Amino acid sequence: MTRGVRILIGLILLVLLFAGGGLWLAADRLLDGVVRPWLTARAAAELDAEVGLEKLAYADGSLRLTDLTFVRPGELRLEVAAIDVQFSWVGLLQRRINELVIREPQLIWTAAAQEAAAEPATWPQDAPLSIDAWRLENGRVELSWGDRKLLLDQLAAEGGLGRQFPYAMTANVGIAPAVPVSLVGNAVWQDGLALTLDELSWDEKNLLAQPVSVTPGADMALGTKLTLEKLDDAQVGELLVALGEPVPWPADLHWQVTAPALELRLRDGGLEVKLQSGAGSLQTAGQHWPWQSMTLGLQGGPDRLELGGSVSLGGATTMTLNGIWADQKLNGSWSVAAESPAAFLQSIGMAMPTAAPAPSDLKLQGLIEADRNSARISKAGLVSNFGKLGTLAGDVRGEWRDQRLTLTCDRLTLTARDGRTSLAEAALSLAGTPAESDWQGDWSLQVADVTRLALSSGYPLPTGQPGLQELSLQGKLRLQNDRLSLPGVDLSGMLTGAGFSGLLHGRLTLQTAPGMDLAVILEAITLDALEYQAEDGMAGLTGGKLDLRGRLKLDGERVRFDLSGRAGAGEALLDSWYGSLQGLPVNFVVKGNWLGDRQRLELTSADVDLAGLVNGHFSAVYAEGETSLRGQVEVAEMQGDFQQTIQTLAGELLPGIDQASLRGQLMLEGAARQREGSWGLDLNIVPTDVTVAWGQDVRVDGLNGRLPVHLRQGASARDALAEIANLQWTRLQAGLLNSGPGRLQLQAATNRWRLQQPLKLTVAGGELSLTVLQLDLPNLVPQLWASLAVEDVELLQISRSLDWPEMGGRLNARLEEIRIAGAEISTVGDASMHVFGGDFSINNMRVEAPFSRFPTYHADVDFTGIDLYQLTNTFEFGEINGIADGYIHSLRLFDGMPSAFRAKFETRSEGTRNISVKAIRNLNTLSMGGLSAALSQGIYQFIDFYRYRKIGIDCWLQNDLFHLQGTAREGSDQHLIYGGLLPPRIDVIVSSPTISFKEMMSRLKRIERADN
Amino acid sequence: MKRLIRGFGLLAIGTVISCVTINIYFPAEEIRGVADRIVDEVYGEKAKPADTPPAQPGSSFYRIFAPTIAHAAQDLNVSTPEIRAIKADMTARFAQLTPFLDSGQVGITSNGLLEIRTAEGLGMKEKAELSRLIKVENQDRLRLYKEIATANEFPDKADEVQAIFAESWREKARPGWYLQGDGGSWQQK
Repeated sequence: MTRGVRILIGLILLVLLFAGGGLWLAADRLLDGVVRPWLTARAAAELDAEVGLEKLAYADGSLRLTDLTFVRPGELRLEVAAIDVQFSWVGLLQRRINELVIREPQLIWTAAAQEAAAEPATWPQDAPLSIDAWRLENGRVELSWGDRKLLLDQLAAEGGLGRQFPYAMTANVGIAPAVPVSLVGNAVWQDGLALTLDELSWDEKNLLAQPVSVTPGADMALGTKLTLEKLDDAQVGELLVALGEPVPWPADLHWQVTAPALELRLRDGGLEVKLQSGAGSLQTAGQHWPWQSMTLGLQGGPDRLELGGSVSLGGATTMTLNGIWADQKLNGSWSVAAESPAAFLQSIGMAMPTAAPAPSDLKLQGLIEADRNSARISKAGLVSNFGKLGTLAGDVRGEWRDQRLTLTCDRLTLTARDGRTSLAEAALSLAGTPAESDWQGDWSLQVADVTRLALSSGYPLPTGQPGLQELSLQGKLRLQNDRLSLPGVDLSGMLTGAGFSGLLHGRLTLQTAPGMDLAVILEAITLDALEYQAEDGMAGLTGGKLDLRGRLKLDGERVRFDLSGRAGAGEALLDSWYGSLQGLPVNFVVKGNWLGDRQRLELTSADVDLAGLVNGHFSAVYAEGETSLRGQVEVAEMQGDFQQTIQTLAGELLPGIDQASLRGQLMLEGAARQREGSWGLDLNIVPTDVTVAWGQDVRVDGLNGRLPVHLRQGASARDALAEIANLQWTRLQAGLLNSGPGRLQLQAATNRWRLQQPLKLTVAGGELSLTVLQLDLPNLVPQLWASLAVEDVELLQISRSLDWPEMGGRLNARLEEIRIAGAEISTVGDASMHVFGGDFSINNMRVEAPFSRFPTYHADVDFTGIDLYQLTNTFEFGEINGIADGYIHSLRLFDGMPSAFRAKFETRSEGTRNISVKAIRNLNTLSMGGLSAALSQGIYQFIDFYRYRKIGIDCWLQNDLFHLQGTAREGSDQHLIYGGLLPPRIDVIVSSPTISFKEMMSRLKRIERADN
Repeated sequence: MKRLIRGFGLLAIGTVISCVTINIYFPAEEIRGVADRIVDEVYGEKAKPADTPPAQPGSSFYRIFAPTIAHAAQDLNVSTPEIRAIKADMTARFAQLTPFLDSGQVGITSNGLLEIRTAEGLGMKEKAELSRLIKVENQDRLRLYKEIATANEFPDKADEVQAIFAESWREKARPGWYLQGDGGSWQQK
């Protein structure tokens, strides 16, 4: 109780005393004329205020004070219309009043800006008087401090005074709208005043869950608990407005709490507040932040306030704050612990990127320093587990000032589950205005091994593929209205693994927006110093470079790409093939999709240009178990650069390819597919005015048409396809074959080409008819069947072209079956020649290992009726006259020389039969040698021809041994020549029937020398 | 006594069968000698004089089977034009292969063929050339075995000729060359 109140009560009692005396003296004039002025003067002096009392009157045991005024200028003005005090004189002696009524009091009180510390109120131990009943009617209180005002209107109160008394009050608080307030309580004034507030109603809602106890005085104590069903920003705003307090939150911020319970304790000169609430929410700028419960505790006074609290959010997330408010600053600590950050984000209407690994928990704790306008967090440690991926840890700093938030994460480290291996390091600096949802900043990311990071994150990269190491990304960041943009990201790294190495660098931009997970714009990405080497070192690439530009859109499991670039390499190796790829860049534009959930790559369009020589357009699908490719490749002109490139690239494997010349346009179009172990290829080879030549001997000019290729393997090989292929040419030349315009019509079927119409070509004055031609590729091993006939080919042209001695006659052949399969060409049929007056028949022709470095040729040759005169003159062996028959069977030719045969040669016993000395010498050279001297001596030197009855030779070459027997004389195996009946006759006898192949070759050379 | 006679009888039958089977159809020892000579020629080593044939046992039991053994001991023909041409090519090529064998970049496999053991230290062009060299060499070796088998009238035994040659290629390999074991690992001789 203030000093002024005590003085007022004392004065009232004094007035009552005088009034009693006056009444007792029955003198109204005394009261109003003497007591009233004295009282006002006394009160003015004591209270340092202007005090006025219009009238003081006593009647029937009741004293009435009319129009009491109490004014302290600039601070206080109290006006009371009337005060009625009903008492008895006995009661006065007992300090007891029967009834006190204060009518229409109006108090206007203005607090000084800097009010001096008031002397602590001291309350008497017991009530100074007792009042049976008092009431206040129609009062009004107007309090002002600074710009704030509190108005209590229609104030009514009643109660008593004594050792124990009740009290009650009602009023309207504020203006437009005024909020009705009421309270009911009891008081005990014995050994100090103790007030109990039983009911407190605000806007007709009871706020008290239990009575409030208040002990006024120097050590005033307060204990209460306020409970509401719901409280929101509008209600509190109204209260604050009613109390004249400004609303401290932005107009667009709305909040509500359910079942708020406020416990207040005022003890030991300090305030203890504990606020608990159920679920609530905060809503601003489109963001909705719900919480499940909240606890806030305050303890202390205005100079030092300890506070602590926590909020339970979605995803089992708890936020705590503990600190001390002193000197207009808050210093303390805070923490956030989320058991499911993804669920927390979901609870506030946000979602984590589906492509990113979700953290399994999050812990963030640090220090906070704040004042009324700003807040700073420091030394905040972040720890978040990402399941198999590992743990993310780092430091976070931040500042909130002028509605702007700045966050800095200097060092964020992602550590693998082993706790030792660092997977990635990152830094982030972010500043923005939450209210405007606009953030900007810088960031960087370093990943030591992308493959290891991907493996840890549960997205293992395909094995056997190269990975990225020392990957570094850094750039800007902008987050505006849910649109995240990472512009100008500088990228660098090393491509390594699976035999690859290279340096990756460039710049890209990443963007994400609602409805689209991520867009990556490759502004300029370069893979430089690209090298590849297979594990065994026998395939590789050096000096590779890849420039890439374009756009990737990551939409859930789908990645759409639209890329263009240029690729090139220095050298390439593939087993036995080596090529220099300098000057052969590939420019490409590719568009397509990657469907991650189906592991499916769709190449919707790919345009490829190889150094301006070859153009291609493709589309393709690659998926597990199914691959398809469709496209077209075109060489606009094969002459010139293309031909030189082919010759350069293939020169190592095909040493003679430099003899080849190409001209014209070539196009390949078709499709290939592979599915579950089977595959197919449908291709059209379309030459346009093509010339293909190999040296001077082989040449095709003006080649046009279309050659379909249908290849199948596996299950799809059963597909039946058949169409007609046409190839036309203006000139065809291959050795003796020299043809003008011609046409080849083929039926192209699955793994097969078959001649549709016989092909007739002019060869050496005769004709070659190809009647059957069929190429099968059952298992990609070519098998060729052909049937051809040769008619009337002039042997003269053949012998001239082969640089043989000129032979007359004609060659006819009918090879009904020519078969090329495996490592052999075999024939069925024969070739016949009428030459040297007789007939030669060649059959069982066969070529072993035809495409190897050592092909061997096999044949059986039979001859009949050979005129030895023509034969020996042609080969300058030495003249022999006679007719011979014989054969050379099992003939095997290797490297142009016979390596095996069985031959028989016998002359007929008819006609002129003689033999020149030269021929005898040559035959003798083959048989034994040493005869030359004998024939040059004596009478023999004058004889040029010798008669013979028969020449018979049976010889064979086997296992490098040449066996020679003479069959000229019956019963002998030594007579090569059996002399005639009449002289001059001669017998030539074999003396060494077996000689080595080497010796035979040397004897043949001696024959050659003799000829010269 | 019956048991003794039965035992000798079985022993005699087994001996006859085994001798005929081994010696009549495939003259392994003679091929081994041929292989040694050819390998020496290719490796550029002077051919050693043929080993003195082991003294024939003088027991009458041995002489019972002498005709069979005498037939198998016939001279093998290894000088056909095909064999000579292949051998000449291999001998000429070996000068190119020797540096790679000496450096360990090429080794001899368990079946007597050549294989690139490591391509380290070689440029891409050299690797391609070496690969071609080895392919041709191996093709020639296989063709050689086939020609030897054909020339000696056991054309279906080229694999067995190869197996015998493989031993010679490996046994006569120079110290420091690499030989591949059955498990695929390489060991330096």
